[in-house]
Amino acid sequence: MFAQFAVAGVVAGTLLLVMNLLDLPSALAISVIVLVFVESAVGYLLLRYALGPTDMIARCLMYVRGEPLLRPLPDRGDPASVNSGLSLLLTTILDGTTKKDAQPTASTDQQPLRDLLAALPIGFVALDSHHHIIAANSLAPICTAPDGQRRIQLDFANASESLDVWLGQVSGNEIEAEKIWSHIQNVAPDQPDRRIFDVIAHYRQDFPSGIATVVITVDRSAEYEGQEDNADFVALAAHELRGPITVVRGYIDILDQQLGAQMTPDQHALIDRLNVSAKRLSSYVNNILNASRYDHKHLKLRPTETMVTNIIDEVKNDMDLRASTQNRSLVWQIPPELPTVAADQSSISEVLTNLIDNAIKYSHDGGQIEISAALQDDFVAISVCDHGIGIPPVVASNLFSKFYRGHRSRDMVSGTGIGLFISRGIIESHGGQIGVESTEGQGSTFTFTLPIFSTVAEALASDNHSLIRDDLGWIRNHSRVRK
Amino acid sequence: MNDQPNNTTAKILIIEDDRFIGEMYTRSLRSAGYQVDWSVDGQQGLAAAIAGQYDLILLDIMLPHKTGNTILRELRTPEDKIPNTRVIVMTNFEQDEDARAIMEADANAYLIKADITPRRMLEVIAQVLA
Repeated sequence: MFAQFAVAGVVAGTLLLVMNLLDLPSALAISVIVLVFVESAVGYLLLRYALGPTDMIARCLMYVRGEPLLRPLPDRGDPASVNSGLSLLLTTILDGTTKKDAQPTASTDQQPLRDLLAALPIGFVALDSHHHIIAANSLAPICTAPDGQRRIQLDFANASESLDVWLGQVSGNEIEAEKIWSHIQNVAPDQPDRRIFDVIAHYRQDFPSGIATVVITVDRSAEYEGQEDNADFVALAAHELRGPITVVRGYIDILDQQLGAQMTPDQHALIDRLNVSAKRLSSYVNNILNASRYDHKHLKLRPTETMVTNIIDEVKNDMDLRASTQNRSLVWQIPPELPTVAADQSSISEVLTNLIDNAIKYSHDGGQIEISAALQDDFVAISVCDHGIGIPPVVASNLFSKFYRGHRSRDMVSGTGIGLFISRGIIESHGGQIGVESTEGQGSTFTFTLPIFSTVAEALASDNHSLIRDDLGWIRNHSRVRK
Repeated sequence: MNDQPNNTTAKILIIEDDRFIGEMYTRSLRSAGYQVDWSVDGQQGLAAAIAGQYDLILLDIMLPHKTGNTILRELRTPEDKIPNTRVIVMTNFEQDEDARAIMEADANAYLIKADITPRRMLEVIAQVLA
């Protein structure tokens, strides 16, 4: 008897499933059920214990097929479903199957969430474990790369601190990690539809539904563009400052030229000090201008093929004079046979000036400073070595931050610390690296690298004014140009 | 010491509104033997540049009445009105790189005034006129 009803129940359940899948009206389904069970009280029990689960399975199947649902998804948490194992089956259907895009219906239980994501002025992107986009809302900065892949369109000024680099560091290594970036543009300042975002990325190994990382972008263009007006102000202020500097430097030069033969050695020394100070003032203005541009992602460099000796020649006379007026001596050890490098010559001259200026500041009276260059794989490494007060290791890692100065130097020597900050920006924009090795009390060696021109010629030829190097080669924006 | 030839007959126009800087370069160039005219106004400078048949123009950017960018564009387009004249743009106002690249296409050199001395300027002029 029970078996009879059970068979009838399964038949009716299957019928109901088919009707549901075919979108037949519920009234017809109900009529069929009534016909099958009308004469038996056991029918009620079957409705509860056989047809109910079948209906729940049917709704889950319809959901993953992307069909509109007339009733909400079943509750997988009720005790009966959990005890019977039905809950596990429903979960398998819902989570283990790729859902097709459903037609929005008012009754879909995820619709409020979708509405919320669409209404918020915030971009959302979900990435899988391979960093591919699996979902994004309309406000997220998304572009299609040449390989057809959708990518998050964010232009990180410092390539070593980009989202991709961070994802590479945390994926598989961390259980959970979060990082926040501020003031990240989607495209360069002169490109159309430029926006500026704050970006939050959250990575978790056990995110559901194949998600590994959620990226949230907050469009802060209105606020940050106002700050860019400040960058224009810095450019105008620099113009005003440079006028008097030009005149002071110029007339010192003319005086030196016209009075040269008549001046005593003491007077010559005074003129030299004036010359050095005026040149340093000019360098400081350049640093401030470049730091402002770097902060606002406006720093653009134009590396061209040049010899290291040309860069050295640009600064050598000024630096020798600067060192001698402060009773230091410079020793230049530049091999002439080094390959040509890709360098924005005036910017690299500023880097060298900053490093030598620091070496003069932080070395002892009468000290010697060596400037050397050597081949290092695909790069030429240029080093500035002093034998001065040195830097403790705990301080060295912060040296290239803006306005940072070592603990003892703060009291002993004047300065802002802006020079190393902009030097790092300039070198990294060339695809090189800058670092320091130091022993407290014995001195410091600052070294930066520049790419050999032949290794980046192709990238430069393809309209690239700055270079970024990742693990696989040289890249510009998101287009790889060299393996 | 001056490395420049003193017997040069090259004729140079300076378009520079800062009187100290203009006077400084006029003095330095004349001492080196060049013939020098100096204009402090963009509009007058453009007229002088077209009429004067100069070998070289030292052109500032931030000028009254007509900027150096405009002057250079009007001199070189649609047809080059000064085909035998070299131009050195000298400014203390750094423009964005694209604007700078456009200027450089029509000029022979682009210098930041605060970064060079009059003697260094004479060396650059000798290179450009060579």
